[in-house]
Amino acid sequence: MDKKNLQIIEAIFFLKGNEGISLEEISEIMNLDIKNIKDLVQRYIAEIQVDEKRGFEIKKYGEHFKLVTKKELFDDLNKVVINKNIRLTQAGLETIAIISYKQPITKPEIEKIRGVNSDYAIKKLVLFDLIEEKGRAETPGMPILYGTTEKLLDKFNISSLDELPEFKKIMNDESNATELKLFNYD
Amino acid sequence: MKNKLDYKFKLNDFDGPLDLLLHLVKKKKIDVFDINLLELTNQYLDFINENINESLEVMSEYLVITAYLIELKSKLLLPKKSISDISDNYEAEEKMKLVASLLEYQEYKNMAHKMSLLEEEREKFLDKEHEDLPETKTVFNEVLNVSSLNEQKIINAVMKMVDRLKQERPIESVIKIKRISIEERTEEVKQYFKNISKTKIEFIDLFEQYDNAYIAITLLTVLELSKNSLLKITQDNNFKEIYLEWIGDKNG
Repeated sequence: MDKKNLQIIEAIFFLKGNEGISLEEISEIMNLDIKNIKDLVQRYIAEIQVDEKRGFEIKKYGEHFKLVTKKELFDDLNKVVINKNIRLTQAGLETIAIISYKQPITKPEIEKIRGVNSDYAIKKLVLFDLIEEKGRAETPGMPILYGTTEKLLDKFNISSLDELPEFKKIMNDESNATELKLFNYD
Repeated sequence: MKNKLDYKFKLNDFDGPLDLLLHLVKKKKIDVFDINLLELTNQYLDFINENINESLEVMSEYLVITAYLIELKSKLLLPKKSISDISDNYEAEEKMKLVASLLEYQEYKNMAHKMSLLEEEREKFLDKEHEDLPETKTVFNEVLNVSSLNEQKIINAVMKMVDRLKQERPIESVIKIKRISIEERTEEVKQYFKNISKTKIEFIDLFEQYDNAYIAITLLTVLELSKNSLLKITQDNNFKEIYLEWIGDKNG
């Protein structure tokens, strides 16, 4: 019985491609309870990881599992696919770094840190579905609060925000540093 | 003899005023905490002056901080007694603020670089476009909640559709960039329905070319026709095909 279920899970991963699938969704499709699904998925992942003949593996980004080819095969596969990924610009990377660590955060706060207008950078990041509106700040003008999306995890190859590069605190007293904001765009 | 330090940087070489300030500090090869505020301000303003003819767009990025530093410089130069709103520790406080800002900016610049490496690494894992499974029902079947809809979601949805279409339907003919108005496009759509035998078509059937202006005009035309009750827009489920049905007068 498990053998068939493992086959089905593998087939689902294949069909779901870059959209990926969550445990809840698999549970719904296969009509099995989540704990069962979780065990099966973990078994499947462990098995293909150990099997050296497999050309693909499973990556987890947030709640979604995705079937991807192994990293080390990239050079061998470049005649098969044209890499059409859009890279972020310096402005985009700076902005996304700030939002990733400080979320939720408003545009004026982002601009205080960067020292430049961030209108365009933010708009592009929203368009790429890497950040989204998480609500509004209570301050005058009710500026939009931005936070990261699940797609950001995929974009930067991390399974959760905990895996972001470690941020070193500059000043010993972090709150002091926040108050010492220099440049007001208000 | 010119050495490396004489290389003329332009404003465009920097990511912004904070980046420029960081560069000036590093050039001195001293610790950020040891900078001379007045000297740094002078160097910054000199640089801005030298590059004053650079594009307006680039210059505008530097305005706020330049204005701040000009004020800072004037306060530092004037005898303290003549300025009322200045504290005894003005220089020290301003320096602290500047140092804090520069350090924080630099740290995020470093994070940005580390994240770009992660971005690059992700590209090594290749994946496939997902299949559209008509029978897949998810327990989280989202009912389109009008209040959660905003223009950004609509734009995202259209862009995703266009990307998908571009992959599925390669354009066979040469793309002619044709300028067209909503009125003209409306006529075209009306004619299209007149010429075909059925009243219901798929949304994507309307697209002959995929440049942004054409897509935008077609979308606006379809929405306008729907508003005027000439066209009915239906979709069975999220992510399924969108159908257009002509419900107006066939001769209208």
